[in-house]
Amino acid sequence: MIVETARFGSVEVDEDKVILFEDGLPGFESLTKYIILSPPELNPFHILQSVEDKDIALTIADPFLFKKDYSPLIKETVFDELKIEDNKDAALFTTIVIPEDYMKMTANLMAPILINSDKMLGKQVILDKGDYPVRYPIFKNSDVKVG
Amino acid sequence: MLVLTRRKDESIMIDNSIEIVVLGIEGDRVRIGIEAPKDVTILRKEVYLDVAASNRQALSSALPKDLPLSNIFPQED
Repeated sequence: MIVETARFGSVEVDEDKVILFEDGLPGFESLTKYIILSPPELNPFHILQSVEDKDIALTIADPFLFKKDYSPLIKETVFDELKIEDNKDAALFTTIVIPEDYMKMTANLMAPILINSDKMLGKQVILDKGDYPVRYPIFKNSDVKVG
Repeated sequence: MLVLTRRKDESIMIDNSIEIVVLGIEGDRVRIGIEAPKDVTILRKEVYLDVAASNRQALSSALPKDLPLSNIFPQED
């Protein structure tokens, strides 16, 4: 299928790569279908691209790249909701905000995105406890090797 | 919006499984207790709005141009 994107124009993707977010995302509740694009020039970031609105595409990354000990407490009911039967089907991402001063980029560790990569279901999970911030500065500690 | 007035210790039931009770009133603050099944998400509204705001900031259209990613995150082989 062809997905229209603001950043990459028309992109050809397999229909079975579409991830269903039944609740949408906070701020985009009506958009429920997304794909993950991983252009090499954006590595290590990926783009969570809405299939329904070409302008809605969020920068995401694997949080363990910059916070190795990240251990969000996600309720079992969320795993049930996403029909995750095998933990190896669970993929975790966090959204990334990159300001003009890009060394101040932050990750939303308080609301990670959990995806069942087998059933292609996803949800942005807002954590209960206040352990992790919405704006975690990626470069504040030494988990990241900076070039 | 349904508007109800409750006194301390009075409750509201939503469907058959959610109960909201006024535990106490101190000045301009109300302590509210919520009983709900585990699969029901309960959030302070400002937390939800903050995540929504952060999501809007994370739109890739907001990415600075010419981000030297291969310098910032050197590829590990």
